[in-house]
Amino acid sequence: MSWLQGIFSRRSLHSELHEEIESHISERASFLISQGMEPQEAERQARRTFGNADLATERSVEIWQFHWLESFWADVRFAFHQLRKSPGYTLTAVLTLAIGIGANVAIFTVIYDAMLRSLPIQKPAELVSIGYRSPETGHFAAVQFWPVMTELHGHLHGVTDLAGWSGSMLTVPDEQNTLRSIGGNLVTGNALTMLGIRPYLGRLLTPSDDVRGGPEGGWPVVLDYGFWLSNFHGDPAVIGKHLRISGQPAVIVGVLPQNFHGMFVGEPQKLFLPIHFLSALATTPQQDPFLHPEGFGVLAIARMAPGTTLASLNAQLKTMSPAMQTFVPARLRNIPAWRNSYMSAQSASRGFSEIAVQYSKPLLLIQGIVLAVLLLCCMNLAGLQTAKLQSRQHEFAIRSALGAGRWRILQQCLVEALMLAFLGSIVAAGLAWSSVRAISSFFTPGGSGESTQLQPDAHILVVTAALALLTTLLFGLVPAWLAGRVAPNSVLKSKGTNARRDLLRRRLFIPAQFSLALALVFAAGLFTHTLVRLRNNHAGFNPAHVMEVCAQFQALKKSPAQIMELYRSVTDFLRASPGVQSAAYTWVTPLTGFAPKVEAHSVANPQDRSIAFNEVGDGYFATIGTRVLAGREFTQQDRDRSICIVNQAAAQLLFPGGQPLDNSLIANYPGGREGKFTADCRVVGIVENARYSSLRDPAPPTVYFPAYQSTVLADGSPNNLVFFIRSQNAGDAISAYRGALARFAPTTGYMVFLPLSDQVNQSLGSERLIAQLSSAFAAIALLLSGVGLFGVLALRVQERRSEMGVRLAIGASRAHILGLVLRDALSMLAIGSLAGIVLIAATTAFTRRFLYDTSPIQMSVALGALLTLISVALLASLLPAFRAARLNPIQVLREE
Amino acid sequence: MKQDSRRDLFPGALELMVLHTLVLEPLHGYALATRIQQRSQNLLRVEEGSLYPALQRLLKAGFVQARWEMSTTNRRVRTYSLTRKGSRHLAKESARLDSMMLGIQLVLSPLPGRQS
Repeated sequence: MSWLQGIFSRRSLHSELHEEIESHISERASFLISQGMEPQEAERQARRTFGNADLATERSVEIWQFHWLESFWADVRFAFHQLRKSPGYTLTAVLTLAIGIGANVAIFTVIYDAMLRSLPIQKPAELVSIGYRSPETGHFAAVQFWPVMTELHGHLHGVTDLAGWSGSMLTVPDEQNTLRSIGGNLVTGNALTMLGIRPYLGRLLTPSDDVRGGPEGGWPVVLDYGFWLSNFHGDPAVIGKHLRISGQPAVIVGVLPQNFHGMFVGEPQKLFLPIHFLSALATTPQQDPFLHPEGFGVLAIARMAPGTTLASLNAQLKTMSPAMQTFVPARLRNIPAWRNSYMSAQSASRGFSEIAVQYSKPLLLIQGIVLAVLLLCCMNLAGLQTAKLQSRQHEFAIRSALGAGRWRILQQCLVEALMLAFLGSIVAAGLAWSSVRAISSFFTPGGSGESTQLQPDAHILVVTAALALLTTLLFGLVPAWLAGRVAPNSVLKSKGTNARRDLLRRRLFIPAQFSLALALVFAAGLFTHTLVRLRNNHAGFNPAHVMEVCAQFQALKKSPAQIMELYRSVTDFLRASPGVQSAAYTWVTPLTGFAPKVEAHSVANPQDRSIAFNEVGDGYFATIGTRVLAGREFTQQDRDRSICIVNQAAAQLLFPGGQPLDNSLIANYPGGREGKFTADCRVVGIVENARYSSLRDPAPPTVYFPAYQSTVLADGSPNNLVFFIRSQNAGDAISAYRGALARFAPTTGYMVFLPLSDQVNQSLGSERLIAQLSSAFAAIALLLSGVGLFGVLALRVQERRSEMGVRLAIGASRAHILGLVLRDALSMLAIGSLAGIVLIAATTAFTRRFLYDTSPIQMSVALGALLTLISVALLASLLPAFRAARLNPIQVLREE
Repeated sequence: MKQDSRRDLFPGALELMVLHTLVLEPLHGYALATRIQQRSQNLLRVEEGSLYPALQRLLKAGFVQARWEMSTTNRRVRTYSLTRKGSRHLAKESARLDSMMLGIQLVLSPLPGRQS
């Protein structure tokens, strides 16, 4: 490209033209001399005929210039020079932008990872899950039954592969050789290979691995990358190593890639084994899903063949549905919600994310908040930039007088803004990456040890760049526009300030910041209020110093009576252990969302009522800290459902006005997996209401039965109970439980030791997320608007020095001057607050959804927010005000 | 392309004359200037300086190409020659110019009915 060369060989272009033109002139001169002219005269004549040689050269060179690019480059250099000249301003601007952009990038990264990102596999868009859709609710259940899977294999067209995913708790020895229960995925042999992923080490599972009894040499197991890193210290020699998983010989054959953790996003599964491993886990033939596949549910993942659409697949599945109904377990077919369900496919390209389900609304709320913070940053900078450009209006006037067009000045100002945004977004990226971990810890189940791993991604970079550009336009355009509008002669003649721009800052930028800050502080106040309310909600139990650990006795080949005996022995052992104050076991763990119900009535209230129930061991209420109001707790002698304990709510419901103690109630459990029962039981105790199921809902009427052998084995499938151990020191509880396992059940493991207070916190995950992040961002908003106000006032005082000097000289008091500045600040604050109140009113409908026991216009919070804002404004204006009041009139007037 | 308002000729005329002059033989700047001067029988006042931007424009458009050579007077000069693209352009533009000139002449010719 010749023009491209032209740019870079400018110098040679110049010298060549110069040579050419000089030679032209001397040739003309020689000709004139040959005509008889004097040499000097001839030279003059030749130059006159030629015209302006320099101009000709310049015009010739200009033809090769790529004009816009050159001026842009000049602007970049000039902007860089400008920024270096005022490092304080540059630092403020870059940090402000970094906070605004960084917060947005961090939240977006989390949202993107939880809700938008496709699985890191080959052609994720082709992946679907085949389950059932209810025509009434439209709800999709991602479950498939093994016999249907087998049937689909031969008859479903348009899919290249179909795999089944199942899960189970598995035990592996921990570093102290105590067994630890961890979640594992049991999958068909093709499940991993069909995803098109490459193992980090070794190989993936293959169909030949997935055979009954396992292949020779032990069950092949593929490890999750994080699990490999934390348990095998990233040792590449791990391949071929033998391991006992749930008592079965296994051999490590591979490690998954770093970014793929299975289909369940946000909860990394640690081990991947062939699905036939389920048979090895079964303690009785009835539990073996391959001997009794009826009702064996798996997650069915299919890959659509190129050219197949979700719609065509769905049409095909719908027509196949009636024939497949025979394979659906009878007890499901009879449930009304299932009766009309038909088979359907849904995209599985993003996997299954619990975070997306639980946290999408809170995260979007936070994203809205950080966008408001970014807006505030932009307004803050717009104010700064206006002031900055105002101080340079002389320069712009001179440039304008020298012929610079308005667009040229606009372009240059925007380039400066762009450079600031660019620098800001680099710092922002760093900030974002370091804070993403802290944010994602809100979603991590307590005690799981490994947090959600977030990876940088090109999408995130694009968003960062887009935000940088957006902010440039937001904070740079108005000041740049104003800078370009200077009337050169008026500016050059006077040193006066441009009143219009000052007005813009005082009437727009600063009040707008205050209004946003007020809205943010108010919202943060509401969310914190909600969190405090929920935390202080009289829960009816005391979670402090209680350790929770789930027994893993399901794999023991013992009778229910023996297992129950085991629970009692372990409890006795725990109680006798050093440091342990009390210990007990329970069937239902508080705040997990699991809340089974019975239909109950009494003689006094023969109407059947649905009330919650739980089955607990002796000393349960003492351990968890729920007060017994009347009667007694269960003892070790209570071993069936002939007696029960009710909470206050159940007592009021079933025995209205009467005496519950020693009266009977009839509870009827309609069934489900745990098998139906009817209990006619005598009430032996009344306990206080406790919000076991959720801190947000009032405590439900609850009846408690003694845990006994039908608690641990119902309907043929084993139930595990949860131990609660109360001790001042968490370590005591853990070592006590390890000791109990070693003594009584060395072949079983523990899943995780979770303090009950963590369980409480975890159940408030989204409230904590919203309250803490919104408070942090509200603080930033306050800081920014305070700094913005300070900047404006300091400048105003500087500008009005002479006026104030005169006022002081003719007798104004210092208090008057102080008031002058403060009044200025308060007027901006007042306008901002009014706008803020409008903003708050406009958003109540939205914030209401995230509140608990808090009105969206809670007066105490509103007052608090307003007071906070006023104190920040006063704090920001004190220094400029005092500086103004301390002016020395004589000195000021002398300067004039 | 930036138009030079200080030219006495209409835009593009000088370029066209340069191209036309180069049809016979390659020439350097000074020779081109004198040749145009002679051919126009000094009717046109071509400012010699404006010849060079015009040449650069033609170079950029690819209508001419340039080579450094030794002249007959033993100077290092840049000689310009017509490219094939340049001759095509010249043919097209001359035709357009002819019809334009004709049009202008027709408009400027004495009006019928005003003949005395």
